[in-house]
Amino acid sequence: MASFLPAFRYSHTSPCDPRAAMIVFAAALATTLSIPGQAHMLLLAVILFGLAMISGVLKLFVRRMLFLLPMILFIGIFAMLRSGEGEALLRLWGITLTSDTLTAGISLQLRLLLVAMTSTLFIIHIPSRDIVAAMHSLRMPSRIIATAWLTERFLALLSADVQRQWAAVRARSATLTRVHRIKLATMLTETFILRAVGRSDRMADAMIARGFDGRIPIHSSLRWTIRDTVITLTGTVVLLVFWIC
Amino acid sequence: MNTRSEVHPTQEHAIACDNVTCTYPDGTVALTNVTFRIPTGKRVALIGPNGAGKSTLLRALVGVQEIEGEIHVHGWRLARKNLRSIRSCTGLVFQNPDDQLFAPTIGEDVAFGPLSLGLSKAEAHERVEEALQRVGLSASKFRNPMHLSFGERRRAAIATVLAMRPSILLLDEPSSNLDPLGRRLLINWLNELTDTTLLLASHDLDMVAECCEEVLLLNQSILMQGSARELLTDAELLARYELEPPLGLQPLSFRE
Repeated sequence: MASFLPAFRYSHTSPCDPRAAMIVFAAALATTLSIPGQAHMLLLAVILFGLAMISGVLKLFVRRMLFLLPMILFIGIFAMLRSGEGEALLRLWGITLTSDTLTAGISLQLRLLLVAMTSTLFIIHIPSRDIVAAMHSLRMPSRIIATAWLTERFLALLSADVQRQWAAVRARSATLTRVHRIKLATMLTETFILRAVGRSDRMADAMIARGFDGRIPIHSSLRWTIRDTVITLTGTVVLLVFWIC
Repeated sequence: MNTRSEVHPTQEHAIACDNVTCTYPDGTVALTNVTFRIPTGKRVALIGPNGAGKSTLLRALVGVQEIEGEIHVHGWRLARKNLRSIRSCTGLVFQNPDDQLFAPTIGEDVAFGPLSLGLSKAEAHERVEEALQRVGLSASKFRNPMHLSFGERRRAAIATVLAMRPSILLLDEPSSNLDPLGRRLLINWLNELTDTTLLLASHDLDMVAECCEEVLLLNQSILMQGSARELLTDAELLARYELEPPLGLQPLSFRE
């Protein structure tokens, strides 16, 4: 049995026990959500960026962050448009931007950026198979495990679909101007959403036909070592110190 | 769990459909009063024009398509309480492999079925190895399904079902988009499955002629059920339903 276990790993392996990674990830998320001061947040962002560089996933990390950045910016700008107290900095189309709303907007953007960076690093390093095993081992409800796994899988499949669809559009188009690209992207979004719904239905059918009953099968056998204890303790202590100071 | 003798007298039939009707929410009628029997171990082809309801019928047989009427699989009535038993002995290969492959690697995808059925990891692993070897994809078990060619994805989709060792195999257009060698391998492999009941929906009538002894002609309802030899040589009947006799039975004509 022992010799069988390593052979059952079908993709890259986690750098540590996924439960250790999940504990550090949860601590990091809690820190990003409660850390006081923008300087602290910026410092934490630099540390996360450094971690991505040291672990050799910088390119992939940056690519995924570039995808998330526009959404974070949009949410932050939306938060800035709320009415607030403080000195009025700018008045445009009846909307007043005050110092308070500006600070709140920037703060929200930084927090979202940190959440995105932490989650991206975690997802890059820990395969979904191991995350499922860890969640199962931590006695999380099977519904939550299935939702998390299916979301990750579905997003991966959809992003591949988007790439294929975009390649098909470009293959039939001459050089596209920026305006054309935006128009096309808007037009394709509708098609894409309809396709995504159909795809999810068919995928669900295929899973159900193969005996899926709401529980994601567990592939990995987890083994907690001293190294994992060290990683968990170091990670949480560093984040705690960071938060206190 | 229901024993077979308790639920239906047609246990000698692998599949028994009685008055199966299916209407889609937009009002499209896909199947009307479909009634047929497939004896255990028989190899049957389901042929018909595009939109005849072949895929709908296959999906209905594993309970992923809502229908009216009665379906029995190995004597189990298609009902919620019997779905697990039915799905554990029935394998459906979907028309589009992209709908069937969803895991990050081929190996995990093939293991999904056996593990979902509650098999141990060791047994699931053994089945994954065997299924991938059968479709010639042993070397690809660590690869992402999205990075494979369409033909390879088709073979991987077949492996996902093979790993469940079904006693009834339902294949929806299995030879579409396969290269000639892949198609030939598929036919050879299907002919090696001697202990499995086969229901094969296809427009590839050459493959049907090689793999199946019986044919069901479907166009919303079952129009004809008979031996492959008899039905596939009836050019007039096939032409009526936008089909052609197998190319192997037609004289070759070259453009000069």
